[in-house]
Amino acid sequence: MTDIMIESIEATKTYNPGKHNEVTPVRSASFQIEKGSVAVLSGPSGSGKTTLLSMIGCQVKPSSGEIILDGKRISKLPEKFANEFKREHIGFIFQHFQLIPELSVLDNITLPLLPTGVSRQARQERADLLLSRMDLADRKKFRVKELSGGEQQRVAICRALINGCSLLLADEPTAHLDSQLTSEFIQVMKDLKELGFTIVIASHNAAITDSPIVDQKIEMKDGEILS
Amino acid sequence: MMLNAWVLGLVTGQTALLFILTIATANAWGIRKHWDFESISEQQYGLEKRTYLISTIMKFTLMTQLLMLLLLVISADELSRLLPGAMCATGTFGANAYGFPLFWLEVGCFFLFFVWLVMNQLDNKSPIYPLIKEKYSLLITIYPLVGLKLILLVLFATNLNPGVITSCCGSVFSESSSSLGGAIAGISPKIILPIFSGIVFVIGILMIKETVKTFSVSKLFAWVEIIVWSAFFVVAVMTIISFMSTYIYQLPTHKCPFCLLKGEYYSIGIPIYLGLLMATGAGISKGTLRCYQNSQLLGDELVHFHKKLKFLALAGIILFITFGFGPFLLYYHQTGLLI
Repeated sequence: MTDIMIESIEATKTYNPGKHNEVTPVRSASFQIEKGSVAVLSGPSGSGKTTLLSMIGCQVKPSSGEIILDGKRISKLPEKFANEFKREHIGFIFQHFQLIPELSVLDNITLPLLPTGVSRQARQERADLLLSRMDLADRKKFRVKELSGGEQQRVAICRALINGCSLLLADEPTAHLDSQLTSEFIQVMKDLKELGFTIVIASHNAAITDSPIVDQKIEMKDGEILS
Repeated sequence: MMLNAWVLGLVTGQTALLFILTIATANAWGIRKHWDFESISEQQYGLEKRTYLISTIMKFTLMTQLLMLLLLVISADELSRLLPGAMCATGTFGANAYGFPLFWLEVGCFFLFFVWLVMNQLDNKSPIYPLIKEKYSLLITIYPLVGLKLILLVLFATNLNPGVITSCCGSVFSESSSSLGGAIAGISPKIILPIFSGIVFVIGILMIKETVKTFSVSKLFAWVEIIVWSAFFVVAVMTIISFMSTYIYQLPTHKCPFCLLKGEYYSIGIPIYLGLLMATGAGISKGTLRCYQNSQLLGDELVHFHKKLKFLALAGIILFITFGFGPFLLYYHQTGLLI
């Protein structure tokens, strides 16, 4: 059993190859991230963090090279299988949370389970567990638009965890949060790390990149990994 | 006749297929040549993207092409109104030298398309494209046949002459005719029925054997299965002409295999041919898949697919026998006589 959760081997992504608008946001990225650790992809805007995170999250296939997640060659998977893998093993936290404001907290959280065939009761049970862990139990029936920014962020985290994943990917999760909420976010990540989650955060926020919970910093510039 | 609506429909359909197949075959050639699943090169990722696109396009194209056989027969039936002497599709196909070769080529392509679709479906069930080279080799084999089909169709249509009298099905499938149709129509039920029963019996034995021995039987068995199912198709068509048709038309002299599709005979030919094509297509595909039974890459999915095809083949045979022999049983039950 390997202790490596993520392995990137010379992963490169080129959009519009051979055309006048060809762009290569990530070039020959090679690194390893251990299980149960917190890694940060840092670097200025446009350095390729989000593209690299998308390749790790099976959202984008590399143009060459390879991404291996928990021993599975995910970049070789056909789309259907990659989607299945993503649905079952990876949780995402987006920059703007991407919640549906008109739906209730419970509906937002259980949404990723709808296509998986998990029963309604099991969906609710899982959601209840996460909501109580995130101190949101009393907000279950609230519409998302009625929540504060910090609460919305915790709902987004609950939604990311609902599929029972072991890998959590967060893309600029604190970009629109104040320092208080950023600290709360870091505390939640710390708790999740203690529970054994592997967490990868793409961020250029110093509060995150310099946080003691971070085990590995992968610095990027112009699509290349500096360290 | 090229400007006839039915002919235009057929030619357009065939041309569209050939066009799509030309693009697909060119890509298939490249994929077969450069495919290396283990590679993480840009070229390999490009091929993986292309194969997804090609197989999706071909899947829907060939699924619609399965209906082309039906369209060809319906068109031929409609065209018979314009040809003196022709009463149904038989007269139209027999109007020149290209009609029946075109029809049989369409039948052959139907089964090849069927096998390709099954292989493609199985290939798509696995994350590692285990049948990619095989399915594209088959696509490359199909390509010239589709080209030939279009050529035959154009020759057939341009040589249809409303000024020339053609033969009706009554004379083509007459026992006194010297044609192949006549020879088949003249086969006695005492000969064809034991042959038909025999081949169904052999199919039954093959199915039981594979059930008892699970899936691990020799590759020779695969070829035996393909041959037996092909023979089943030929014998079944002969049985339709020489025996079943007699009781459907309730006339000893009318043996046409195409008139069965007409509304005046309750379109009984549709379930009969549907059952026959379904059973044969599934049976041949079953045999073809057996050639890959030793592939570790296919795993349980192959066994699962095989079971599905077996069920489809069995359902096809039951449909064929029920509607094919039903009129005979009904006639015998009502009159107590044999024709």
